Parts: sequence; structure tokens; C-alpha cells
Amino acid sequence: MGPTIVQIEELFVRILENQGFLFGELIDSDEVESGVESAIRVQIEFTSDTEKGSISLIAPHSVACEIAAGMLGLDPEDIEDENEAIDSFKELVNVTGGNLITEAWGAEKIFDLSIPTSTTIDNAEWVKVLKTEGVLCFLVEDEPLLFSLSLNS
Amino acid sequence: MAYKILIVEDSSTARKVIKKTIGLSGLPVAEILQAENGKKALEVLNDSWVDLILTDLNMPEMSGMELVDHLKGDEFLNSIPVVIVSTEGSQERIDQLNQKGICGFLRKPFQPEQIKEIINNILGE
Ligand SMILES: [Mg+2]
Repeated sequence: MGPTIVQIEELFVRILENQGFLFGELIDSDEVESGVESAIRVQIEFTSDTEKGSISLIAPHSVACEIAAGMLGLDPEDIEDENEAIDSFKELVNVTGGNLITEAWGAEKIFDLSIPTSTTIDNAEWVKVLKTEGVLCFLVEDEPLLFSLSLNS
Repeated sequence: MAYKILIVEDSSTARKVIKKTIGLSGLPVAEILQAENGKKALEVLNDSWVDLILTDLNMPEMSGMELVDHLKGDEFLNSIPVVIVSTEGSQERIDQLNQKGICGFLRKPFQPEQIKEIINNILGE
């Protein structure tokens, strides 16, 4: 058993608020913009003696800038370095992933977490993820963010 | 006396956030040094003495756990207080770290007050 949707929603919204001073809410996938031209996908993998899976967060570049600005206490326009936006997004995924596995499986279980990795995806890939069953859609400061959890235990 | 603190963390964003928080802590800080993993931290410690190390666990090249092992096995470095700042949630791992002699554990996401409290407890009078 992995985390429930409610667990993911509560935890991610709380971490967004705590770390990035950003407001996030879970929305229906029909409400999500499908015309996003390109997006950043950050992935983290986790393994324990019985579980194995990954968590991916996918969002347009502007959302990564919002996250970086929130975490660093700057304005989004001040985030000029692409790497800074990606690094912040990775850290958000790192914190979300680390907390989510403990929330879902408990503090008794030992997990190894990978270092977060990032890739850029195009519109076709965005639409594909958006249509994947089980992918959660969030609105972060009025922009879309997709949350995908895959378990292969 | 003003303190020298080393932040060991692979995320540059997290390093900046921790650095900023220490700056707001009210502690007299002479210098904040930074390293992006355990290996780089040992290089920094080769050249500089620090009063406190704040380290992440999950880092490339050398993890925080390995760094703690190196520090505790070194006759000069083993007296430097180490605080872990990580997303680690496994009680067994935290117990292991405590047994190795860390001075504190702070789980991400942390509030600025928590980091202030921990370093004040260790370095403050
Ligand atoms: Mg890190």
C-alpha cells in the first residue's frame, strides 16, 4: 500500500507552503492546461526491502521559478539562472519524497532515496503524463503541476 | 567570539536557505563555509577549523552518514559538533546517527526558529 491521495495532497500542499510560501490546490485533470509547450520533470526514486518506486513532479519552467523565488525569498523575475530554478524544484521534490515515504510506510521502515534528477519534456510528453491514470494535478499560483507516483513492488 | 560554521548540502538552494537562517539567528558568526557533499566538506576541513557542521545525508560522492563516520574516526575532527539537516524519517537511521555521536537532527522542512534553537543550544552559552 502506497500513500493515499489525501496524504499526498495534504503533505504536498503543506510543504509548498512551508518551503516555498506558495499556495497549491488539487484540481481535476480536465482543468489543466494541455498546451504547455515545455516543462521540467524532476524524479526521485525510493527503495526499501519490500518497496520500490518513484515520484515525479512536472511543471512549466515558470512554476520552478516561483518555487525558487519562494524558497529564496526573491521575486520570480529575479530568478535568472535556469539552474537555480531547477535546483529549487529538485529540493522541493527531495523534501516531498522523503516525507511522503515516511508518512505512507512509517518511521520503522528504512528507505534509500536517490538524488533527484531532472529532464525537460515537450508538449507531447506533457499531454501523455496528464492523461495517465493516477497522475494528480495541482494548481500552484494559478499554474499547473503534475504529481506522479509509481510503485513497482 | 564569532563562530565558523560549515554547511554541507548538495542543493545550492538549501544551502542558501540554511545560510540565511543562520544569519538571522542572532549568533555572532564570523564565516559560513559551504560544501556540496561529504568529500568536499573534508577538503574544506583540511584547511579550516569550524565550530559547527550542519550536514544533509543524501548527497552524491560522499553521503552525510559517511561524512559522520570520517569525522568521528578522526582524532582532530571528532570534537566538532555535527547537526543533521535531512528529510530522513527512519527512526533506525536517526538512532544510528545518534549512536555515532551527532549533536542534533533537524528534519526538512524546518522552520527558521528550529535551526536557530538548535545552533543556539550547541554554540550559545
Ligand atoms: Mg540535499
